[in-house]
Amino acid sequence: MQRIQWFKWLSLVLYGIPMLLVLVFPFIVMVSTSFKTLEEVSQIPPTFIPRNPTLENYREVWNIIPLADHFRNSFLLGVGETFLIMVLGVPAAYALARFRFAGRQPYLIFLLVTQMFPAIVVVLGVFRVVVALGLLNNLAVVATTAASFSLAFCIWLLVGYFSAIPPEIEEAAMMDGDSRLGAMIKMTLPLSWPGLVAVGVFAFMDGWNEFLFSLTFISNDEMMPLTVGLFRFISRFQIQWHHLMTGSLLATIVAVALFMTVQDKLTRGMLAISEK
Amino acid sequence: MSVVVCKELVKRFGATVAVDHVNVEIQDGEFMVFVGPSGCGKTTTLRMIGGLETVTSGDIFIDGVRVNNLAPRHRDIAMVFQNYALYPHYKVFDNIAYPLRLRKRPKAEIEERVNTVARMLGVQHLLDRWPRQLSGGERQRVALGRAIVRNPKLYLMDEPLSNLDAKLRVQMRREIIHLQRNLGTTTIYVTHDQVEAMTMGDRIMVMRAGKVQQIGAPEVLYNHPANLFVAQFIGSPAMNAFKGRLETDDGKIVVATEFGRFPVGDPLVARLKPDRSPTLGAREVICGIRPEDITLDDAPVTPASPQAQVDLVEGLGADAYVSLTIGGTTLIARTPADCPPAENQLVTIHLNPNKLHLFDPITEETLLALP
Ligand SMILES: Nc1ncnc2c1ncn2[C@@H]1O[C@H](COP(=O)(O)OP(=O)(O)OP(=O)(O)O)[C@@H](O)[C@H]1O
Ligand SMILES: [Mg+2]
Repeated sequence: MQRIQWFKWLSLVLYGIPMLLVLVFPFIVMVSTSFKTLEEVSQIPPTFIPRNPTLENYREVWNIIPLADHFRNSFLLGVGETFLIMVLGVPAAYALARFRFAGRQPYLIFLLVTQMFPAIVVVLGVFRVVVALGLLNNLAVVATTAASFSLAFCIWLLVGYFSAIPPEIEEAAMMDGDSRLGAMIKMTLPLSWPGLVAVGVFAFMDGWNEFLFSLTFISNDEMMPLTVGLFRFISRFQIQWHHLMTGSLLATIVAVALFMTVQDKLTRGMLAISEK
Repeated sequence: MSVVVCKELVKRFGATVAVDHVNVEIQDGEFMVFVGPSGCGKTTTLRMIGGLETVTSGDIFIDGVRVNNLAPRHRDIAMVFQNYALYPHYKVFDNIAYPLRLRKRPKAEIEERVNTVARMLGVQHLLDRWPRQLSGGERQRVALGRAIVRNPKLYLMDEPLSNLDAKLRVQMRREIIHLQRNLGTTTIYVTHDQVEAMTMGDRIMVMRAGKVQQIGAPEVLYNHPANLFVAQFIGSPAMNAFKGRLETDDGKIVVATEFGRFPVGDPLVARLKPDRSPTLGAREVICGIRPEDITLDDAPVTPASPQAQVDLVEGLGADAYVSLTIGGTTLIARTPADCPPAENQLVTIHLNPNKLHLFDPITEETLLALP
């Protein structure tokens, strides 16, 4: 008993607290920087609490870049990717989880292999296709390309969730008079709600944080998502730290606020299922 | 009219033949039991009838209509699963109401039907619970309720009682029989428990390795097994079997065994199938006798009477099972428990001459025609 208590404390001090600091530190810096002037940011030694806290950065960021457009675009990318992942991933994962067909196993492995390619390897090729099709500055193209990269991972996740639901429940529904589609929609999907939420959140975050394809495919200011918009504070000669941090903080706050609003609904569904 | 007909039904899973040319007709209102050891293809046959498994070859007819390619929901069959398969996210009421909701029945009718069924099964106080809040027996009742809430052509039940404890199983067994008698709906019931099969079935189909061994009423299977497998699968403890040879003593047919010569009753001799072997005297057989058809005697009748040594006596209240060794053969006899022999005692055995079973030693098919 004594030993375990002692060990717990030691691991908290040696591991927990340093980890916490490492994780939280960037946020603290981000918050603090957003209230500093550029001169104070580059001061050595750095100050932790701004000497002359100012809200000027917030006004400037709003004026320098079309922040509202950026937010809207990021949101659209998140929603678009979630939509694509759900519409394409759920049926694919369902088929992989429920049916035994020739090539099922190789296909699952193939999906995994596609995950091994870094996006940067193909971005140039995809760029040329997009140019050839005249689809630059199109958010739908960015969402589709990004989704095609996270789809494989999401399918793997969903196959796991669907396989965990006993097929007898669907079979019972079909005997009771449901079609297979009806049984899937009324039985397997609600029962794998936690999995669907996890994948949905993952897809949204992936879209919200999308950077590489937006940077490559979008040159029009109004079409850029936050990630690329903020990236423009980093120029070859100077990094506008105060603006960059302010924008990042705003992006984080909005993302967190978004999840807070839907979180209640999502977890309530999750709890309802897991209690059963 | 027979409700269900399977013709040359085959199911293959890759190289495994799960169901091998099954032919069976199930009559209207009948309680048919599929029984056999684990993996013999009972569930697969049932699932093909239900439409949950595709048919490799052969045909299934329900009410004269070929249903091979019909979706389950168009077959008008209700099924009870071994693990109940209740809908975890629906309350008990909604579980039972589900088939009616799918059929778009009016609300009042649903309410009334569900309540009637719940009362019938004694679960009316559980209607507001979630499935996870029910005991195994209660879940099974709800699953039954979901099946009987509408009036399908056919019930399929796949080992519905195997997850219940012994006492509850006996009780539910009776309830299911009552229910089926009252509703009069044709039922196919799968079990690997021969006691369940014997007590519940109007008729029983015994399967082994995908093949039908015998189809018949419980008494027929018990008294006239078609082969050695059925003989030993039905009945507990299993039928004794030993090698023998049909010979003639003074014009009377006897089985000569390693441990003695036993007369074969005249009714049996009359039923002996015309045999391809030239003389009866050379006929090798496997001889079977049920434990209750062996009687034991304390005193040897003649010095020549076969004597067996008692190895073990297992009392079961009314009866006792006596394990005997005679020659190199082990036999089990069933005697009234009030005067069992002592262990290690020598006893004389008598085999009821009219209750012998004779099988071909190679094909293991019975040599006796049905009476
Ligand atoms: N989906 C499947 N894929 C491959 N083989 C299968 C499948 N389902 C059943 N089998 C095989 O078919 C054979 C018959 O199986 P089935 O489930 O019908 O047996 P059963 O008589 O119901 O046995 P039990 O009493 O154990 O339930 C078995 O050898 C089994 O391994
Ligand atoms: Mg089975």
